[in-house]
Amino acid sequence: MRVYETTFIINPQSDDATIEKHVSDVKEMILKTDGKIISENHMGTRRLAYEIDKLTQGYYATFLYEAPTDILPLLDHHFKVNEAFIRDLTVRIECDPQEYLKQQDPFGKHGSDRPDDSRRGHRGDRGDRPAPGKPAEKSGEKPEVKEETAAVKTEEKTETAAVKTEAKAETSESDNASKEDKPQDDKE
Amino acid sequence: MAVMRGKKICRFCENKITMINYKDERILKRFTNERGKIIPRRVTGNCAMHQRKLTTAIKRGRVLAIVAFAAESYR
Repeated sequence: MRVYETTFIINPQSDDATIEKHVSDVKEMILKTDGKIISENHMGTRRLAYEIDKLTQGYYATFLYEAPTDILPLLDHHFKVNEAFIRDLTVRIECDPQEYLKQQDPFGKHGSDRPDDSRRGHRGDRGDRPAPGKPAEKSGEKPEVKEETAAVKTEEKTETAAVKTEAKAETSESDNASKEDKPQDDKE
Repeated sequence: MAVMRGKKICRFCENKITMINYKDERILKRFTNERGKIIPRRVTGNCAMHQRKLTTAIKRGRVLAIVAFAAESYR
């Protein structure tokens, strides 16, 4: 008796009942040859990585079982004769089947180790996020000085009811007011 | 991963994985490039044992149409 894992793909175009029947047929064959099924996994319909017989999807099912070696030619024949089976693969499992099952999903389904992250590397400290008003500050001291002098003029203009709209004037005033605080501190 | 600096550590050793699941699309894809080629271990940093197991897993996955033999289209 040896432990094997058989995975096969069934043509998904047939209805669910016949797919189920194909799967149970394989199961029966294993059981008939004194096999013991350890686990069975119906992965369902999945996209194929490449076209097989003009099909883009396939129904996947897997059996992990313990059976005598006689099962292999029988299964092989079954898969070959029956056209519903697109692909099949039988692998011998040489370690403890329970241990094998445990390692099926090693990284976990929570995706703690996502594929994209490995390629990115460390991005470095981004520092504080720029606040909405900050970009002007970032551009350096020069514009601040200009705005400072300009601010006085604009204030005068707004007071004398200049051409500028009230909304614009207000925003420029409030912006300038916040910027004016710092240069004033420097002067003191 | 190509830009990775410093000592590379085998991901499978790190996570204490002794068997690589050939039905896990995510793992197989992670170690193949866009064309479907297996990425060398000099790039991924896998140890020799796990690279060997990974290649068999990828080749099994190709048979089962879980990963492609070659990319369908490329520029």
